[in-house]
Amino acid sequence: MSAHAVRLRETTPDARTAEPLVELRELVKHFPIGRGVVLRRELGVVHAVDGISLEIGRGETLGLVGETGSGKSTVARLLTRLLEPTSGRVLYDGKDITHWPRRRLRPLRREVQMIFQDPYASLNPRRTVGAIVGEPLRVQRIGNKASRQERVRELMARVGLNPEHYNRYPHEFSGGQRQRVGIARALVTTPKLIVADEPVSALDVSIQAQILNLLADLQGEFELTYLFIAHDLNVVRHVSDRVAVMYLGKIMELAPSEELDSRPIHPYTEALLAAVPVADAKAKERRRRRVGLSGDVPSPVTPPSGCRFHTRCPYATEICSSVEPPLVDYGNGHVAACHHPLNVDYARHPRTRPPTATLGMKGVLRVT
Amino acid sequence: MALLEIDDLHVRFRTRDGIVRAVEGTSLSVDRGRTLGIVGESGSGKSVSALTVMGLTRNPNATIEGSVLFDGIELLHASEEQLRRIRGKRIAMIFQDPMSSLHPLYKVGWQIVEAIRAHENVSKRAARRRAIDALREVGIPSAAERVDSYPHELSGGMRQRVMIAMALVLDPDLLIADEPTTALDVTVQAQILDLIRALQEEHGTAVVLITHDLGVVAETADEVAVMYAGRIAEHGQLEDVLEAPEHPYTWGLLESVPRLGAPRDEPLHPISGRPPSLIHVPSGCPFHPRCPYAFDACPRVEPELIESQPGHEVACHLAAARRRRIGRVVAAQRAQVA
Repeated sequence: MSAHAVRLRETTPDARTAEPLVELRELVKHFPIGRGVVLRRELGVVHAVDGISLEIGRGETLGLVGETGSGKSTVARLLTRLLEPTSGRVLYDGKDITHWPRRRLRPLRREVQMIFQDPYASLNPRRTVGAIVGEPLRVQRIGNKASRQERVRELMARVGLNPEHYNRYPHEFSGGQRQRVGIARALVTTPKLIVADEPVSALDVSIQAQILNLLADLQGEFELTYLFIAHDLNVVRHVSDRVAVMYLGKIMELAPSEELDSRPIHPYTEALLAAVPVADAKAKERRRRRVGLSGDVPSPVTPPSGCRFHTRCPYATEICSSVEPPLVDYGNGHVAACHHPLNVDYARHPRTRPPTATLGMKGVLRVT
Repeated sequence: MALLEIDDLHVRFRTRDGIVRAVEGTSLSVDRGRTLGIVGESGSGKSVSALTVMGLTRNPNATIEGSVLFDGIELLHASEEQLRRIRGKRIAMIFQDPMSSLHPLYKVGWQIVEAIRAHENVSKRAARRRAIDALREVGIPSAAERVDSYPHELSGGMRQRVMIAMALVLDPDLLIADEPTTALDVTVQAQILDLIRALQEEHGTAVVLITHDLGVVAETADEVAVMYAGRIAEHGQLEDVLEAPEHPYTWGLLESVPRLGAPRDEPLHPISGRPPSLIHVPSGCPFHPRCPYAFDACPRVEPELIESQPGHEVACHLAAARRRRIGRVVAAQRAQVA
């Protein structure tokens, strides 16, 4: 209907064949939980990220979706080297940066930037937006004062802010505009990779779409690679070339976006898809038929044995609680870790068994 | 007579920057056992309307006009004492963030016991038994032990269940839920919405569900009101509004959300601009600066909320036939193959 619709993204089909920009290998991050100041005792560890391998191709958008405690934000902080991994490796542009010291990382910080969820919390309230957007240039000692100012104004205009508002403070802007400030700040050093951690979840619905379209436009214009993290599968699927679904520190499924909703393989993905409320006249009927997940996400301190999803999975059998399912490649870049996958050819994957006859999460009776 | 009848409600706040017109002539009603969904973005007036019903916007800087009748009682002129008897007992409210509505230093059971004993003359032991029953009813496992948990020991979903238990333990006639699932994960959101629905069916409670998410309303409500800049833009039976939405703002809300199952590079159609300032509300139709269909009448004359179809009211200057035509197309595009 509206004529000002924006094309979301030119897909880059060869992105996956070229050398990836980012490679995470068997990444693990455990946070110790301790008590006591002088005599520190270790009470356990939070298994935030537990062996994650991912590649992000150049010019690609990789979506990372998961619920509270899935470890998705920890992955972002490991990749940007804001956190030191417990084990595993982080490769950027072919270089192993896992243990680079801060000083050595500094030039890299130009190329890798972050956009955060809360534009209220991530902008210094005492500085003007011009100073905020120009800060990375100042820290990186790029250009002089005049050239930095010019660059900031240029970017403010590009992200849809009035450059005349250079000297205003964050509180004078709405939530959507503040997120534009955050985006301008991320772009100011002409980065290659942008890690966006829940960039639209704090915004009003009508503003979310504006920001998503802006991010898509900028990707084409600046040849950006995105790691897009969100809890909203609907949003992630829309912006991403491929989507990784995380649960309790593990990847459950990774697939090209269009395959994810047409052919979810992991029951957890199916559950996430079924839980998204859709505003149409059939919503109530769907809700009545939906067999939702019971319970909450278990604690990452004591993750369940075997498949971490088995405590909430409607298809779980004995093997699920004892043996951890490996990630199996189902072709076309579609991998999933499940003993009872959905929508696959069981004959070709002898180690998998179809789920037994039961009500699927969309309320469809599955007969095996 | 409806259980709750809001008539021509105006709420204004005097601030240093000017007068905030939070609610401007809103009329709504809710029948017993029914669910009214109020949808809107920040600053639409949806929460202020609810807080006013609960008598929670009374302060020297607020001007409240109109009428809020609850079961025949005028709440706007009720004394604090009258309100106290109604609040919690006959009208209960749950909020977005259960962590900030539960007291962090008291066990959840104690807080439910307090709520019961504030309204009923029962022994602590009897109240505690009811608290445990209520926790069990909202699906908290091992309720007899959880009753002695502190809020921080519970997950977000569990805390919201505690809030619902506390709200429903006195069997209120009306439950106002202000963004009850916004802070929760989608799988838990589905559980909480199912729970509210099930409890409502069992107790015959009327529910006012306030949310920014039309999808949540579509799954839960019988009736829906879309609010913009303190006014109702569109109001009707849920099915009517979802099958043929008639207000351009409702179209915008629907089209701003990516569709599951749509081709991946299908563009989003955001609503341009941003929500209006409630101090400087645009003239005429408050939505006109953001409306792709606005014409010369829109900035001049404020459209009244007029019945377009039986039970379906819309505040828009566009010709009704055209609105219905566009609305059906928008809705058909959104309809997901179930």
